[in-house]
Amino acid sequence: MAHHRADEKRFMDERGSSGPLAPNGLNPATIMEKPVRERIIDSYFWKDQCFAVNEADIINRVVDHVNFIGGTYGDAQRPSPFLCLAFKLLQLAPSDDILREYLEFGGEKFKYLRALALFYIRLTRQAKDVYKMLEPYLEDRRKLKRRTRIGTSLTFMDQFADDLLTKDRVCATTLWKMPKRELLEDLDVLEPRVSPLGDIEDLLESDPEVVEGNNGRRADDSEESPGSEFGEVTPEPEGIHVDKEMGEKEKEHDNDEP
Amino acid sequence: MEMIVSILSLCSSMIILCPSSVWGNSEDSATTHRFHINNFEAPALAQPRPSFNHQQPCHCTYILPSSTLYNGNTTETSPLSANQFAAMSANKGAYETTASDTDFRKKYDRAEYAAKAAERESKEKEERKARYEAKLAGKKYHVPLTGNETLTEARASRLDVASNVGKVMLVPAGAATGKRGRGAGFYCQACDLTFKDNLQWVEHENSMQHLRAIGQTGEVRRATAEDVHDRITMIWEKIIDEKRADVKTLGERLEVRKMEDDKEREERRRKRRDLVEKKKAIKEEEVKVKKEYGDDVRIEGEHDEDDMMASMGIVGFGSSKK
Ligand SMILES: [Zn+2]
Repeated sequence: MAHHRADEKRFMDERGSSGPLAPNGLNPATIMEKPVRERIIDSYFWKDQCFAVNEADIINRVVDHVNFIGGTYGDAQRPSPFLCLAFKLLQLAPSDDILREYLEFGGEKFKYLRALALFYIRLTRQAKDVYKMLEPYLEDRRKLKRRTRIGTSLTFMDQFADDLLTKDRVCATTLWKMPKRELLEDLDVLEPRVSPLGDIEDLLESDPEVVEGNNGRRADDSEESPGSEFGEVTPEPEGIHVDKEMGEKEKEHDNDEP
Repeated sequence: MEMIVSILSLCSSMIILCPSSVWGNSEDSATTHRFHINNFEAPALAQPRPSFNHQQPCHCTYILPSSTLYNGNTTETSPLSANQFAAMSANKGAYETTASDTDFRKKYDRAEYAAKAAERESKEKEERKARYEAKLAGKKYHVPLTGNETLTEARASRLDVASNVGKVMLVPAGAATGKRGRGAGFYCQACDLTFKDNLQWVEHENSMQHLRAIGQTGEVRRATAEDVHDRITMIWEKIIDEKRADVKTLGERLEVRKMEDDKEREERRRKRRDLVEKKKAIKEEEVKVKKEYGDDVRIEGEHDEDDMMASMGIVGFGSSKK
């Protein structure tokens, strides 16, 4: 199908019947709860900014209007632009190729585009793909603003990705129950996850001294007082610094002499 | 209005129907502009004018010339370029009028009118039937697609709700009954409907009824991953450019500021120097006077001239050489 409908009417009519299902077998039209859907469709933002939007236009909308993640906010429980655009994605049903663009190429530049794609993937993709597509972003430390009914708070991309993998409810939407990662590993559906920090078992077993050496920061660290490696406790770190510097200077002088 | 005048001067006799906004910046882009010009004679104006800046190609249909029109044989061509337009009016000599002096009266072709009426009636009947059927099926009736519709596109910006705030617009009393016609509120030119608030209005803008009125299908082109990639690049570059422009303007502002500061400082320096020099000059003058008269040795007649001039209010000519 080369076209979308500009509005949501057919999408909403197709619920429970002929509409195409998401890869995880759910009907995209009913993934969000009915009161939330109704709030979205009634909102001015939806009518004005989500009408006739396609997979490319939605990026403009994210860049222009999304500056926090959240479901419904305020006393009036207004649906957030983030939630409205997630609902639009449910209607558009973008392919994995497009989602990769949102996550990687676009996600590097626009953090809320990545956040939106993560949320959408969690709602529609199969468990193994959710793990595979979301886990890389457990390393994304960028800040995100979150707005709830109570107020605004700060979170991070990695935290958001973790919430999506572990919590039941995110952004006014109940997340479908995914099988645990370990189960998928046991079923050989997923490879064990390798953290960029290295294997967690290795980290725990290894000698702390070695870890320090691996990190490449040892005695060179100027914050350390010269005697500390011998277990000496020095009361005035500043004094030590001066001593150290003087010592080094003396050394230099020594070298200068023929 | 300039636009219309130049068309007038070009064509000796024609009716122009233009469903687009190419006629100058006329507000009502979707309505039909109809100019009827009868046997316009002006020899000098037969030449195409440079001021005729009709966009090309445009979407207007023209019906030409008047004699054929009155016989009911209308010629429709679309689109028509400005060049063709100009050539057409140039071919027809300004003085050459095929119309006789009674041609301005309408000649009725009864048979054709009857056929047209019958056609219209059957069309209306069909529409009524379709409406009824749609109603029975619990659906809304829409004018069937003609195949010339364009795809619907996302709004480039938010609907401009605030542009008319604070403006006083005269609305004829009773012009709008219900939503129909131009009244107080948000007015849709294409459908000739007025809405009380922006929510109603945006709902209308999204409605199938409106989309059909402006010739859109209500379908949106599906974007590919490549489109998505390009869009990201485009938005990113735009943001970078804007930032760069900001920095540039900031830099420029600082530059200007620095120049102004320098100028001011230079001015102050100059004033100070002037003041110092003036003081110095006064001092020197005093010293000189003291020196000259200090000894109180006056040779008779030596300073008479100076004294005389001084008494007359003239103190030297600025020359220190005496
Ligand atoms: Zn309309």
